[in-house]
Amino acid sequence: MVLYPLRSGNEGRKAGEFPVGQIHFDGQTVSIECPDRDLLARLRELFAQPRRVRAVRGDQEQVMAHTWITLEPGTEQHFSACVARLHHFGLVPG
Amino acid sequence: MDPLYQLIYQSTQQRMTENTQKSSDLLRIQKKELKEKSSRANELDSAELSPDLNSMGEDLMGSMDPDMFGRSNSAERFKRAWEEEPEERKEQDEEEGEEEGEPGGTAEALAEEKRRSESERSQLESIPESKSDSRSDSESDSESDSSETESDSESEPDSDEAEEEPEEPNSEAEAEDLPTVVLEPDVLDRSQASLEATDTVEAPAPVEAPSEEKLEPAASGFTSLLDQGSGFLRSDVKADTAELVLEPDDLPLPELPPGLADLTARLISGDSSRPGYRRLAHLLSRFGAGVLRMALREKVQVYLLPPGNRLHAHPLVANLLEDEEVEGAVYIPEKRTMVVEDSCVARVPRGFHPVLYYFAHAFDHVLGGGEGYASLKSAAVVASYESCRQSLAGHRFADDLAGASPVHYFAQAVESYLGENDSLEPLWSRDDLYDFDRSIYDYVDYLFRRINR
Repeated sequence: MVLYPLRSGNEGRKAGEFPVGQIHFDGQTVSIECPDRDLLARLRELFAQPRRVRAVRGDQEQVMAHTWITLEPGTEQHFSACVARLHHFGLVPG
Repeated sequence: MDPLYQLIYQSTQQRMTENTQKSSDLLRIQKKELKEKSSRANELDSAELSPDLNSMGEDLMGSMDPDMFGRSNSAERFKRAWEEEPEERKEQDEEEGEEEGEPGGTAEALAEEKRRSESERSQLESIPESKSDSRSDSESDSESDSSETESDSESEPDSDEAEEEPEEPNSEAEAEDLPTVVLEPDVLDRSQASLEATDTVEAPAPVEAPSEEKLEPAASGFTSLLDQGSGFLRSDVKADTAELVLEPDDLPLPELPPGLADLTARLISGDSSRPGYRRLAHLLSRFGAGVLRMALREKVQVYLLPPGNRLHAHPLVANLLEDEEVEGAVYIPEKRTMVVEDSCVARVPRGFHPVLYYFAHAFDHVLGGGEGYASLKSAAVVASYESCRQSLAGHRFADDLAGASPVHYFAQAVESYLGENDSLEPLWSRDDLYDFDRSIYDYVDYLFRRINR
């Protein structure tokens, strides 16, 4: 997955032209390639920490509810949760 | 004016301009040719050598071949001096070679000459220093002059002056050849200080305990606006699993317009004297009068639990969810009832506003009439949801919960649309919805405008 920087314009934020790095999940570990050392350290921290995400409880017919669960690194869900938060770093997956 | 005279005048003018053009062209060509000639003959352009403006005029003249004009001879003089210097050197070399009885081209002779030139240079450098040294010696009633100091240091390396030398010669040969340079005391002090400074780099000085007056970088916050490490320009992403102490939401709330206040009062059942009630009314008022009226028509109810009560305190929730842990708020479609915890509204919510999210479920249910959720039948919502599921460009889910179904997707879009970035660490703000999922943003925007007009 190629990462692009977010560029602000008249029509909101859009992916920049030049990629800033790559992330790859092989089912167990996340490999990050990023020449920017600072950004690399921040991405490593993001993908190494457990994430707290919302989970659906109940169903559409009877009751609709949610709870918070913690996802540990090394799972597909954790990886996708981290990718969904990349815009907080000013990045967007391509 | 006479036309004949005018004609003559014009022709004369034309001839004059032609002549000046021709002469300037000729000069330019001549200059170019001369430059080329001189570059071919490796001659120096004297204009390039002159550093000051006074000699520039002369040089400019000189650059135009002095032989031709015969006014400036600076270029010639320079050339002559340039040629004479190597000749003199050659002569000197030959004389020295004859004195030593060895041919001047050998490697040893060259090395000897090099050493000598170095010693000469160092002697020249040490002249003022030795003079000052002799002055200091005379002050301290020592009899030796500058030359004697040199000889003393050569013969007696253990003397006080020799001890003061910062660098000792590596070999005896070097010590014999090179004259010792006696540094002034202040120079020595400076060199010693620099040596001490380099030592401290190698061996770190003992760390002093920071005084209370000193600002600690971690505690002082932002030291500079350009300090990107402190998280001013970039968002600090911490482990969001850490337990956050949610502070009471004590932002001052403006009075609701009478129409909206009446609508919310009819929707909400709970203790109206509590601050949570007011906060809930304000959150619901973001949907607009049209949506609230529609909800009232369809008999939607919002039940605010007393402070300290969990969601399971409500009998319907306890029946339906039993042991399942839930937080914030729930929506019960069968009863068209939304149950809200007091802590969910009395404190700053984390990630998103459960009130907005679950009332969006109620709104979706109301829009669908008696046939379930409207989002399941809406072409716009389903198409946008499918685009996000296939990860098409310009379409993204906020998180896994939003991607669970079109109903969850629509509720999240409404929550993001109505959210005012007033929750802690918002998952998906209105700007995010606009930038990363424009189609659903446009649909929600259209929906609210149409219903609340």
